[in-house]
Amino acid sequence: MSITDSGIQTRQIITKAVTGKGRKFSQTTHSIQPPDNISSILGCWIINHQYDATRIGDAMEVTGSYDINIWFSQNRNTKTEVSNQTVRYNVPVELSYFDSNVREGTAEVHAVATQPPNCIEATISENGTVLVRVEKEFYVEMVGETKVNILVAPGDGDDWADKAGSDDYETDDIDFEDLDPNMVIDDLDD
Amino acid sequence: MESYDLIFDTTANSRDVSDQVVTPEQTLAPSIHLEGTPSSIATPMRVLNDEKAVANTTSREKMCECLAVHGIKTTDKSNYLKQYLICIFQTHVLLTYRTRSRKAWLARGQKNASNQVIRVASEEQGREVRRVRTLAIRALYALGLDYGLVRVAVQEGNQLAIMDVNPAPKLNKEMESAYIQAVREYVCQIPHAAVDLKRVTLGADPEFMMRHSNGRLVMASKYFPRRGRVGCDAIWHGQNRMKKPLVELRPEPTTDPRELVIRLYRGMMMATRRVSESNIQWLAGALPHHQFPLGGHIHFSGITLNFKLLRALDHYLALPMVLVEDRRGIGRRPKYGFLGDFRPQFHGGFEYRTLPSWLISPTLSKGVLAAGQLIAARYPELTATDLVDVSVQKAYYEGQKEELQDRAVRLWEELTLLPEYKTYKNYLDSLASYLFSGTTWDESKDFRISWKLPPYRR
Repeated sequence: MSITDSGIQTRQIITKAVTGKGRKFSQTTHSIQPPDNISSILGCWIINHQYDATRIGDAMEVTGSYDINIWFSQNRNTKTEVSNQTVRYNVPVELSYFDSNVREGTAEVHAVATQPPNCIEATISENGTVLVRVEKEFYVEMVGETKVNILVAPGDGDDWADKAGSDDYETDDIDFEDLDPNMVIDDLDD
Repeated sequence: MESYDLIFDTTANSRDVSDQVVTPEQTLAPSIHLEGTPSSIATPMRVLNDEKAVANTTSREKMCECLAVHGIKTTDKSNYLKQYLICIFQTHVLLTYRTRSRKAWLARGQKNASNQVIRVASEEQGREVRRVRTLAIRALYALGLDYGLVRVAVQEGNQLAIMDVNPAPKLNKEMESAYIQAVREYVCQIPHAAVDLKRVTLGADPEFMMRHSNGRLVMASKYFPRRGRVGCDAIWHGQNRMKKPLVELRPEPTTDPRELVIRLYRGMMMATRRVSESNIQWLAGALPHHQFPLGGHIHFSGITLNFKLLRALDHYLALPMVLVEDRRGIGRRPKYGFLGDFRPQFHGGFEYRTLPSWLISPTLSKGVLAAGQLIAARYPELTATDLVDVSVQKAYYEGQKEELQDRAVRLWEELTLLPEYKTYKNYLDSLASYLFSGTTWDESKDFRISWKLPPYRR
């Protein structure tokens, strides 16, 4: 007789599940050396954003790069030009949810830029460099194979109604001895 | 302020309603009065956008002042990254629009880039959209309105702020049909809004915390699971999210307030077995520890949620409770405990989150749950509109007991006139004598003493 014939059966199934997730909003100020004779900044645009997520132990890190394009005027506003500079970054993302029950070697991480890098302001600092304030936000997810213990119902689906247990997982065995709340409740008058 | 009359007729079609509440300038009527409703229906239920509330929005200064009282940030028009326009009718977001976020930053003077708005699908449930919608509903409620167009700015650092609230917006085609539909649904709901007490199912998840005699917090997560009849609340302490300081009682819902209290009591009994150390104090109230405000959330189902119901709960429960609260609890507001704080629930009902943890006293617990059911069942017959006045809102947030005393007495008297009051007369009379006794609860006192729970059992 196989053990599957007796009583309640359980089975371990292996499935892919989200085993960790986190969100990170960050603000960065880049200091960029402009060309000579800069008069004013006319605009700033961030393009070519590329990124990738990696796992470092129980935490995650998003690494990436983008180009900061600054449009400025020179020589007392007689000429304009666009400068381009690529910057790299890495952002650690703390996980708000993490389940360590993942089969070794199966975890993959994914990141989504819920807010791609966006220039909030670009100004010329006192020492002549250009300060570019950038905001971005990522959502990261760790997906891995994990074991799930499930109850197996015998027969076909028709039996389900009887077999499904109550969802009341009360573990404490309530035994009030002489204390019946029905008797007590109305006498409490503080 | 111009108000429009709408003939009460549950069979009216869109055209009829539209003819009565849309102005010739194609704007929504700033205020609507329903004419010819059944006589038992009190004024608040018959008026959409009370004129006094509409008057609060006519000057920007007044509007910002009112929103500030409720802890809602406002901003002028210059510095935002994105703008949302939210069409709201009471607790429902009818339509959402937003401007495209600017791709490039341009130097000052050239900021007025495209202000073109696009519609956001109602299915879109992204985090930002959800936050914006919740804030917009909260702002509309705070101003005492029932419908309107709320403009929300997304500022740098993911900060949200209210730019403007318009109770009589200019309507495009889809806005018009959405608002007309909402008004019709509201009208149809009126005849069935008042129900028998037993139609209202009550649940609750009041919180408490535990403190060691040496003054340190005791982590609930050390004794209780995350889920369960007694569990720990999702809020965490410090860096480690596993450390959860708040205990939450989660009794099964029932239509009988007394039974709910019995279930809460059972939960507390169970908790006393898990935590038996005698040098641990159990604390409830609003703010027994400065970092962790406590809530006494009540869940309602079996009734339709609308602003009128929330306002009745604010008037007849939240206001009187200020009289007995420990002054140390005022700091809970306005971040928590703000007026009309609700959250829709998976069970189809909603959770009223304004009250502090009433577990502090059995009289209060019994009375609050009984009163909650009474108000939820009979709110269409209740007349209070005190909170439309900003000074009364202020008195609530600042805990000015003297200011609220007479009003609370008057409001309570009105409750006693409801025929259903008799059903819970014991609990409600006891609650009233507690509320108006001039005493206040003491949040530093172990509430097991009042509940006669071990080790304080006789």
